Amino acid sequence: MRRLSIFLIAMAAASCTQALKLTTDDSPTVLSHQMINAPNPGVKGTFAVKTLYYGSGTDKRRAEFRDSVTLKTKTVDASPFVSIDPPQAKAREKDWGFGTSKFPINGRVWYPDGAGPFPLILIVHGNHNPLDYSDPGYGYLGELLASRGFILVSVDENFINGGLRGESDGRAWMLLKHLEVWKKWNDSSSGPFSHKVDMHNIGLMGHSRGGEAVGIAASFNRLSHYPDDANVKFNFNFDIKSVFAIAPVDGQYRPAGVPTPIENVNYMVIHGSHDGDVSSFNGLRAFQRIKFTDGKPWFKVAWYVYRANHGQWNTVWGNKDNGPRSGRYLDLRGLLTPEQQRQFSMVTIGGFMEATLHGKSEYLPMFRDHRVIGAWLPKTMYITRFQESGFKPLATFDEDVDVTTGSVPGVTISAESLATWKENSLNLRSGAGDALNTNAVTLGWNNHIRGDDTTKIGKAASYTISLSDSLVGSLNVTPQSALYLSLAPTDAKPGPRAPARDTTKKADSTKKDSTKAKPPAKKPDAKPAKDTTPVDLSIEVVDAAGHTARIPLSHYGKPRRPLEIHILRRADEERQRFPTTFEMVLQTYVMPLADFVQVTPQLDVTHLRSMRLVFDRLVAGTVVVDDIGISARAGPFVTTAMP
Amino acid sequence: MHSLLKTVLVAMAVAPAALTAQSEDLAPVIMRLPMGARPLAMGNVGVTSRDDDVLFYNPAQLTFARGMSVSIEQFSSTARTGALSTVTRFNNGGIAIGATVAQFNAPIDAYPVLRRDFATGGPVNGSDASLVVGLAQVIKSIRVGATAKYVQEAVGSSRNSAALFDVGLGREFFGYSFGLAVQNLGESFAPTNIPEAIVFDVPSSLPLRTTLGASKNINFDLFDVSATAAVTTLRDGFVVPAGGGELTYSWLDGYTIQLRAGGRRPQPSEGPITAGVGLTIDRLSIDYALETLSGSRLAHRIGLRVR
Repeated sequence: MRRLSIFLIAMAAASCTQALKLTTDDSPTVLSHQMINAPNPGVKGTFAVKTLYYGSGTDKRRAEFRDSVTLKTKTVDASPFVSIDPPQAKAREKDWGFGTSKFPINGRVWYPDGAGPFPLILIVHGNHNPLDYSDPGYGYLGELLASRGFILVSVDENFINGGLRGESDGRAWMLLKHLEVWKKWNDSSSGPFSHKVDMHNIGLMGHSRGGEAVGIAASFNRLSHYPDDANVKFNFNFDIKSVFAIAPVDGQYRPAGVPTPIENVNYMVIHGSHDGDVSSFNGLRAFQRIKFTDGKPWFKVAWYVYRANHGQWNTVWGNKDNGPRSGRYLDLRGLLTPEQQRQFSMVTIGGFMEATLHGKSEYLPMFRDHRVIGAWLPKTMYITRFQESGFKPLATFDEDVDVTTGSVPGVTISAESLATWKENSLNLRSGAGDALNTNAVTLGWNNHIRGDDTTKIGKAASYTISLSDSLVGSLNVTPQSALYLSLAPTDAKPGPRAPARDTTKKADSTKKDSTKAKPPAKKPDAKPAKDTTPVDLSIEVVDAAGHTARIPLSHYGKPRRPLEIHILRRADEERQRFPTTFEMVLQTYVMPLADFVQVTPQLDVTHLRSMRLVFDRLVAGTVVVDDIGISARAGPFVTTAMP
Repeated sequence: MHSLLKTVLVAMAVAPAALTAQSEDLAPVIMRLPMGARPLAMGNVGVTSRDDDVLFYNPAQLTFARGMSVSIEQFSSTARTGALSTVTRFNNGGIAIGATVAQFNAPIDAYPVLRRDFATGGPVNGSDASLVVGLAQVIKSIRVGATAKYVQEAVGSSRNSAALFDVGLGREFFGYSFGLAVQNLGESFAPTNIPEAIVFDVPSSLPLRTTLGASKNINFDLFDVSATAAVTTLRDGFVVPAGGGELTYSWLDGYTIQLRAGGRRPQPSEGPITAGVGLTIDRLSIDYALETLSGSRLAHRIGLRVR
């Protein structure tokens, strides 16, 4: 009987969901300020909103794209981009009424009731049950953006959904074919969009596989040939200014076997920590590889949202990220409400499109430091990466294995009293097989001096980036310039440092009693205890004359220990699937040099000599640092800052 | 639910209207016994099962099956049977090995042993055993499998052994899983008497049977429903329509409770109703089934499965 009781108790315990584990929310403090005075971009504007459908009229399943279209479109031959096994192709053709050679150009449009011209934004869904139509799920964005003077099209690609692989290029190409249709409508002398579309300000948005597709579309847009088959010629060249990816996948399509190169667009990616489908922040890879090469003022942003999931950005998809049955294994208890999650997307999408397509620069600072829009954002925790096209790298740790050199000639790196100093590659949460394709430096310190006196603190450890005169000259550093670094604290805590050797004492070997056993060296803790003390450090700049100015890093953003993530209900499955309970997302800090001049007026930043991370605000800790640089063009992004 | 009902009705409809009475003199008896707790609970229909004990029902389904299981059934105080099987992945299908045993008492030292002997018992000890190996592969979207069985039966002073074979096919059509199995192919089962013993033995035909079945699963948020139906034609023309269903409740990934029920046209000494429950804890499943027997008797089977 006793054994049976034990068995039943064990069974009951095993069948229970693990306790809800979330990092303590600091948003009441972090989001306590609203510094931007512009209207909330997540709130509807003044335009009345009209809607219509356009389509090829061939869709057996979608009455709205067959019978209710205001504008008729021609079908397109997507067969070079979407390949389907013959049996499945046959079944799909029977289900939908068309095959890959006759894909319809179907879209639902929300547009402002006004003269225009209005910027055009296409949004495309990702993979989902093809019969649970995804395109209506962005209606809330359509209502918002149209009321604010944008035309939003939710593109129908449900017929590509289901069990297909490697079709993201097809999804992307379809978007460009939609743009061709829009160009024709805008150029025509009649019709609802005649000369009402601002074809010089085009935005693309995509969700999940659609999120990868928008990056591919931006890449294809400037190519003359399809990379996988040069017999297929491209001639798009649209003015795609902005690309917004919602919880995207990455690398499902690799043109010519390499990651999709994306250049010279404003780019933003958002991702939820509790995404039960794309459970790692894949979009960070796209963020990392976006290049600004034409000298124009572009920027890129990656925004990590704690407790957001994959599906709630779309009102059709809901909170069960892997289908109706996924509630059996996904832990849904910690999720933001759908309304909160969509409030976030409306604020960020609205702000991004206003800033990049309407040129409303008052919204730019929210992308540099999200704390300036505390009243607009739903109360949760965010980590943001940011970079604008003026960024000049000093140390990105990707070039070589020499830890003392930077990314450009003239940079020298040194460190003092660090317990950990190493450069290594970063991985996504899903493990070593899912590399982020970037390296970073890990810096660990413990200012305690080892010994009986546990209060003895040594000189603060530091990490210094020194710049040569010629480099500073070429960077055109002024008080209007800003320093960049991206950083994430970890839970690792090195042991106390060894006392400095007293070099004034003479070595006297005769006094040594060689018969006495040497006390065993105290081993550093194999697994340091988890520390919850807030992490902070100082950023110090030094000029050629030796003037220094030091500001806490926390002035520019919250250095936060890893946010705890448990996506699955079963702890054992979570451990099996994910090597860590957090995603390593670095927070970008942009620090205007003018702030340092304010601290030390004698500081001459035009003769900047070094930038130093001084670990003086926490006795022991470890941080991962990447993308240290400087920019002379951060000005529009730092006009509004935290007090 | 409509499609579930259709599955059952279709299976019932293909059963010939004229159902002949079944002869009992088919041997060995172990080849006529249920071999898995889960199939038994659903009318002893296992031709489209995806569990490892499908080795005893339709080798083609070994393509899907994984894991190992053991089950035992008590028919009466003197008769019981057991089966164990294990399957592993092989090429694009599966390979399996299994064994079955039965112990019983018979009223006389003679062949063939009848199913009803399991209830009546008697002074003569009897036992059956079989060793089974099976292989399945997918060929052009069709699951194809075969089983070789070595069977031995001992009743009193008589012994016999024989090699038997099963072949099976499986395929998905329109969301349904279909299976066809022809079982117990081989030469007739004639006992060899121990010299000097007094026996009354008659050469017996193998219980050759052909089974065509279908199944369908429908998944909901927390519940899964599955239904299965099959028609079996025995060597003597006796036709057995059977079917069953399973309602699964899962409150957490890997943890499920199943309720099962089934019906069948009873063969001699069987009853028409079967039922059962199951509990799955991650990779471990415990299944219980009961079958009604003639004379208001019940047989109980319990199984343990590790996936």
